[in-house]
Amino acid sequence: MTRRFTSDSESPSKRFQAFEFNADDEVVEKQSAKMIAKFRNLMKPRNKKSTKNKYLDSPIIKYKFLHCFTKNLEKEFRNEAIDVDAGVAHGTKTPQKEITTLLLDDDATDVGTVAEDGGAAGEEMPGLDVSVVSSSPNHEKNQVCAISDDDERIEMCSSSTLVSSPSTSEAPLEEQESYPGSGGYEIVETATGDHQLESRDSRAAANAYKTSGQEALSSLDARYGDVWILDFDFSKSFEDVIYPQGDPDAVCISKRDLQLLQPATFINDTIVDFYIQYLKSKIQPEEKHRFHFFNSFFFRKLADLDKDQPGACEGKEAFQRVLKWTRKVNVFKKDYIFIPVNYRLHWSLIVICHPGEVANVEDEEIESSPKVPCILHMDSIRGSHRGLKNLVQSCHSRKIHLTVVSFCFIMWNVFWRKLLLSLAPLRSSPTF
Amino acid sequence: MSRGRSDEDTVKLKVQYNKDGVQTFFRVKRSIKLQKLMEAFCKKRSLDPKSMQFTFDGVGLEKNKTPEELLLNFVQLGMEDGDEIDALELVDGA
Repeated sequence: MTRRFTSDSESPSKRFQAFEFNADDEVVEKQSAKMIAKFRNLMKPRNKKSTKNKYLDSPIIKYKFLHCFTKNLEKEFRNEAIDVDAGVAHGTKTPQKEITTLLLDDDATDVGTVAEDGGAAGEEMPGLDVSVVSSSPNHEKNQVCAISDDDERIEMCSSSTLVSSPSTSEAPLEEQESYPGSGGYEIVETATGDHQLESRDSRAAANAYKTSGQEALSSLDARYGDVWILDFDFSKSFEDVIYPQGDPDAVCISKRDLQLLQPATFINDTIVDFYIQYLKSKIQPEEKHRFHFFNSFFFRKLADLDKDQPGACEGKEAFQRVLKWTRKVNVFKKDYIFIPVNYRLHWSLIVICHPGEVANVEDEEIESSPKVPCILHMDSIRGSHRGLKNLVQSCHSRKIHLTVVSFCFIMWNVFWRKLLLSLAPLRSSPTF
Repeated sequence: MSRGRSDEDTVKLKVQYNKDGVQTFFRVKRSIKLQKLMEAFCKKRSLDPKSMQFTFDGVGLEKNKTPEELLLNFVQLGMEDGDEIDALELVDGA
């Protein structure tokens, strides 16, 4: 298991390098860049006139892109000698295994960070993912059950990426996450690779899980389709909905946005912001001061993602860009700060836990503090957001780290938002 | 367009299009609806207003428009000379 933040002997500043990536990540990133370039080139000739809008608007094209992206990774890794961590590698019989080994390796690091920062029981667990997984099976059940509830309908578009009711609590996170792609369609191929890799610890369980998971997923998908057919008629006119009414952060949902909730479509920032508002409304009023939610534009602005060639995120410049956003909020008084991230056609989530503690607690005390400041990045499609590394690289000194923290960093998928919310009020430390 | 008039009832605002970082300056009456500014901007930059989102210091300007809030003017938002509005294209992802 690769952990870069493992021991106490590491310097405090190192521990704060929330976006530290290893060499393997570079490969993925290069591929990603290559693929995006290729894809864009491919698209251009066809859409000469209609340009970006058309390209951006077609979910099918994006889907193809994502698929294309994962496929290419597969090819590339086959040719490279990958130095896989011993705890993770289970042989390299198939190219798929190789990819997922890489991916898993990386993810393990993230998870490891989380576990350690939170002082969680991660160390005792045999599998790398277990520290996180240990809390997720229950939740996952809840999540899946909740899906049929009427008021949960909005969540379904993202929840459908998940496998319902894990057959065993041993099943690693890998399993649960291994059905990426909003419709659970083509991308599932990648997921298969994950299973093969994971199967060392619980091969039998994994296989059982895989089957039941796939069935559950397809049934979920079918049910999702039914809900839409039953309840929504898009030929009817739909008046814009403001949610929540009277709130300065209210979101206006139009018919156009609603259509994005159909199966196998991409969700836009309006939907994401709506969901954030929805989750906010579920928080007890007395708990509300503990959380701060940025809207989906925050990260775009912070990291300047909209530029065609986003450069490295200079701490100071980035700070200036969003300086005014928090003038009414003291983010350091918050326990959790949530930042949705849209990057390369995919949503993930950054959560900053206990940012205020960084200033209050001495480095030595941090280990024993119940509130461990940390930054989590939650991404349902492993590796798809590694490029963010270049954007958020400058978190070396403690000072800069503070700046970074103030802008919150945990990316999560829509699913994770719910998970965190359900856990956060119950615990004072981020030991997910 | 901006002749350096410093009338109290006008305010000079810049709208920055995130895609290219180009800023467009507007001098407008404080009592005017923001909607008008947005439309003018989209027209100038040949953009589809439906796919655009305007934010001011993180507050969405277009999204939270209610019939009442259509009356939103610069005074209520506390906008001052030189303030910047972000024009963002809606994005989506899986």
